[in-house]
Amino acid sequence: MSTFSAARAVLLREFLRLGRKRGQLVQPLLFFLLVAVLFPFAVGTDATLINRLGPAVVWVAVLLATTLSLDEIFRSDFDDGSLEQLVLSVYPLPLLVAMKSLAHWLTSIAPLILLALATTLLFDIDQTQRENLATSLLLGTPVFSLVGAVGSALTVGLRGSAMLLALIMLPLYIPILIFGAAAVANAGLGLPTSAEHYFLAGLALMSLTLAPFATAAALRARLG
Amino acid sequence: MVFRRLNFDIHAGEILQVTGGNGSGKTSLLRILSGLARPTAGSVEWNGADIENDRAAWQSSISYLGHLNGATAALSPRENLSYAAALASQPSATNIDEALKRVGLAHLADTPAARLSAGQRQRIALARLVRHPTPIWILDEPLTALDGSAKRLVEDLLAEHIARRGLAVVSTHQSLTTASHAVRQLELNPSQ
Repeated sequence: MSTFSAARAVLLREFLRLGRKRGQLVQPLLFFLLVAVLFPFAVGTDATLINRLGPAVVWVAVLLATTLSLDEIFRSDFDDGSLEQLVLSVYPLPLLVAMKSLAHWLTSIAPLILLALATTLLFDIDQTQRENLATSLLLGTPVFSLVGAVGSALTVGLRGSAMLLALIMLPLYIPILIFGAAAVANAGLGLPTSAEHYFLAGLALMSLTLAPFATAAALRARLG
Repeated sequence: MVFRRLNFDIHAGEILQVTGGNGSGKTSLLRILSGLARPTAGSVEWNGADIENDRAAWQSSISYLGHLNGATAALSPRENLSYAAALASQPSATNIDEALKRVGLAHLADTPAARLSAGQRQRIALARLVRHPTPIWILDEPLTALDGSAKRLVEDLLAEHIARRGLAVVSTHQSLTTASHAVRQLELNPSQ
């Protein structure tokens, strides 16, 4: 009956809904694990090479695994009509869709980050680099959820939307990939990394302020 | 263009039954009335003011039940209703158990909607109307997939709604018997 309880209800409903579709949640994790585990086999026994390429591989795998989960942000809500009810509610739509992005981050990306940190053992990554990877993933991945929701809203209900969505989103994710991977690589060379972190934080804040409004507008346009 | 030169009034205590062949624009009209879609030309006015001027007031006055009934398959009827209540603008008129009993889903309150039939899922949407009696109902083919007892339930709900001086726009080809004195017809035909 208040904006706060509406936002909380959207968040809790996402947890319930996604918690009952565990197969879908596990799929991106499995994909990430396969890429991360196969990579060292392909590179061979050169430890310095693995260490140099490791952060880049982790970042690319996180990015690709994330795009697998974006389609689900709005698709089943569109199919069963609950998206219409969400758009017709009196509460601010940008806030409600921001809750959906938050739920996506918590259920699909946070587990991926933990898994990414665990797989760094395969790449002979040292402690400083691992901490740096954690920081850059935490700063960069909210952009994936927030901007991903815009793409998910734009393509919801289209046939073959998952492929289209990946094509739309990947170019937009490139800046995150550049700064995220660069931060970890710099840490490995003993160079300062604060510039990259500031860029990631800036992009995250910009998405947080703009993306929910774009998502709400995209949903209204798709349903109208 | 789906329709043009369409002009009608509807007053409190009336049911407007929209009929017309497939593709005549019944759903488009109801989506425009609900505020989901915007008309290319023309306007929807309520109490003399365009609904675009105060969308929040309009949205808090209507209940829209579309082709897709808005029941989430992964959630039980109870969870669906408590979510709908959090998104509603007004406090619920009845508690969840009473509403589910009214629509005949009391024994299935905690079964995920994915395991219910199409008619039972439609009943979840009807329970939403029971709990949130907004003044304006916009119902798109509410009788689809419903059995005889549920059809009577819809007619009873409409009759109660009219008795409360509510108004309803309903698209259906079946005749509404219970509140027949309040029903007006609007037939859309493709040449309009």
